[in-house]
Amino acid sequence: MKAHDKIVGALEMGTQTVKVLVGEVSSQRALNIIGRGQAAAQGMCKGQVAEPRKAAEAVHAALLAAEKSAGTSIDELYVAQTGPHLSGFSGLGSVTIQDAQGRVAQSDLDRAADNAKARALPEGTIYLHHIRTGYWVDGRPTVAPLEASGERLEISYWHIQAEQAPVSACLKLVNAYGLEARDMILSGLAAGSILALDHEKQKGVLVLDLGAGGTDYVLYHQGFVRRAGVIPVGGDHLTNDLSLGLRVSWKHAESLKLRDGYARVSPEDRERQVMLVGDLMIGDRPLPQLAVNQILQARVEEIFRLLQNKLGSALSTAALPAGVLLTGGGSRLRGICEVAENVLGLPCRAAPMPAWALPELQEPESATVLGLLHYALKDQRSDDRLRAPRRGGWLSRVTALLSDTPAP
Amino acid sequence: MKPPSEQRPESWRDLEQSPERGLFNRPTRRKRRSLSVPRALGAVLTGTLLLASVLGYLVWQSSINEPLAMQVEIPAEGRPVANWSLAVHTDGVLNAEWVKAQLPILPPPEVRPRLNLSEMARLLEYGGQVEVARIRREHPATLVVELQERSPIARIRVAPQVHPGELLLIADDGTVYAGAGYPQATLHALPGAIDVPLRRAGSQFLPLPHAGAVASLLRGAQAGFPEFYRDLRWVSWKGLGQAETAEATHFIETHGRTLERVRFAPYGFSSQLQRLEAITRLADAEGRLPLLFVDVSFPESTVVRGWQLHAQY
Repeated sequence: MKAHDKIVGALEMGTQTVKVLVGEVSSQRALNIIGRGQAAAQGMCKGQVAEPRKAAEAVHAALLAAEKSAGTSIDELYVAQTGPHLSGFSGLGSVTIQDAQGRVAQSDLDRAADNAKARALPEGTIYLHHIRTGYWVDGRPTVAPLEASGERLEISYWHIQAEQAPVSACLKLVNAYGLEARDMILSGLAAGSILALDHEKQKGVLVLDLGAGGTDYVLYHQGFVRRAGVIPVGGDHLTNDLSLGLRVSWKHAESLKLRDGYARVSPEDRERQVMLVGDLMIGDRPLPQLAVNQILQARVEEIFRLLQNKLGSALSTAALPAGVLLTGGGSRLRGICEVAENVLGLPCRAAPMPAWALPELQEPESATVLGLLHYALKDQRSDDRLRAPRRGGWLSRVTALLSDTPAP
Repeated sequence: MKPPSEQRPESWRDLEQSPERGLFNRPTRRKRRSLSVPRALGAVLTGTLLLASVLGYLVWQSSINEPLAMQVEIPAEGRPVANWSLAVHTDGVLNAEWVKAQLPILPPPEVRPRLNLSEMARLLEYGGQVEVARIRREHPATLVVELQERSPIARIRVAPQVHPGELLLIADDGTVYAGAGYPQATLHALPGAIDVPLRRAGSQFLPLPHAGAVASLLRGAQAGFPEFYRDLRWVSWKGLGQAETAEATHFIETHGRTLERVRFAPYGFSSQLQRLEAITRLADAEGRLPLLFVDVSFPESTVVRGWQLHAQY
């Protein structure tokens, strides 16, 4: 590793799996994926820390495995956030352009941005993201407002707010490993940033990341993020429904969903039967395919209806001509695209993974963690600190040790 | 204005982050790494000991399975067995040439040697194809050899490093041997055996468990449902255990062209074959052949999976 290379980590704490990718950002601003780690999630529920000790064990195991696989330690960590503790709202900042000629200056942009972000949040909630969704000069949408002429400048943001306690708990897990979170990113945003192509973002596209505990969504239009958020229903709910509805164990329900599940009922299902285990051994038994598919269809339709309620009029063919892209483990369920098309009335397809990803990461479950790493690369590119030496000399380190302050 | 510590955080960036040195922090990991050196040494020592014991066991095994043929003493003044006349009687395919090739050089008949006939018989039986060999001497120079041969039920294709001939045969008692003298057509008509737990004993192989059950199935199919037998390509040992005990979970699977995979319980083959024949005829009449999977191992029901057929009979 060269002296100026930076090792960045991407951490996704899912309901079923904790995933870590380690990337090396070279001084040429290129990213090499050099390690990965994974651990079965424990003590997590819908993206939130439910049992800190167990969650710490899982997260630390994944980080340790990733560092071991990379053969080096992580310098900066990017953490994905998802769960019902997140919500979004739109905010507009508006200022009068101060220049006598009516030209927009950087100071106008800064004031408008501050104005847009000035809204106080309720007690116990904090901002996670301010996502800029567009500029207007005298009511006209403008892509590059600097030096544009007018009297009034407006900036709109999509704000993501989060309950403070779950975010603090997440930070504590990371801190307990000896790392600081460099940034926290909404899972859907991370996935959407690599899955939706630029022209799709321009035309309008909705990216849905169907995880185990929840479904993240991000809606792009005219190249900007317009909406982003989380629906607290995911693949585990499908498994749970099957388990309760068919009176089978969770494990069998999960394998049944993956092996024989279809998200849409068809007339032929009345005559079909599926085997519970599939090995035809003692304990295996036939189950009606119709029942399996009915249960799955009901829950999948519910997910898309919840999304419809959240996004309302933003879900139209005119606003989203590029349709819907599905990713995440839930997108593996057969027939889910057909249901999405029926409910949302938009063309839908499974999002192809980017070609630059390693073959073993070409799976929908890895979209978020890959997106995080991609985000890290962009963040590092804009970071001047990359040019600075990674560590001080031995003298400064000794001084830091004696003065009990961290080395630079 | 409130001091910074009392200000309510607005963004997650305002939350205090204090990387702690907990259970998994880096200094601890360094300690773990330093501890891992003696651990690694211990692991290497244990591994070496284990390897030595396994090697010792293998050497001991091979020593007790040394071929008996080596115990036949060959007199220095001996001449080829061809000086003797051989009368070979067999119930199989071997002939006098093969017997001559197997027997050691014998002293000439006029020397009136004392032949170790039982040792010679064991030599003929050594390869596995001959189940019982009886040899008697008819004076002055005739050896009468009576052979009772094993009959093969299946063939195994093996890698050249396992056996130079690359083709081995399985007898109905599980003996694995390199067949000699069989017509090519006979060999081709035999189903192949797959997933076979082949284990070496010296230069030979240990008898396969459950071969009796497989033989009963194949012979039953040959006699009772010849179309199925002709269609057979492979018979699998995968569902059979390593020991010769029949468990409720054991099964035999066959692979064919028309019936791609058929699962049998390792007993009661006649009723299973009858049910299989009925299903095959029904599927044939309805134009639903080939069938992907048929399970006749449960007496109360049969599971059938086919390209178009998916039902329970």
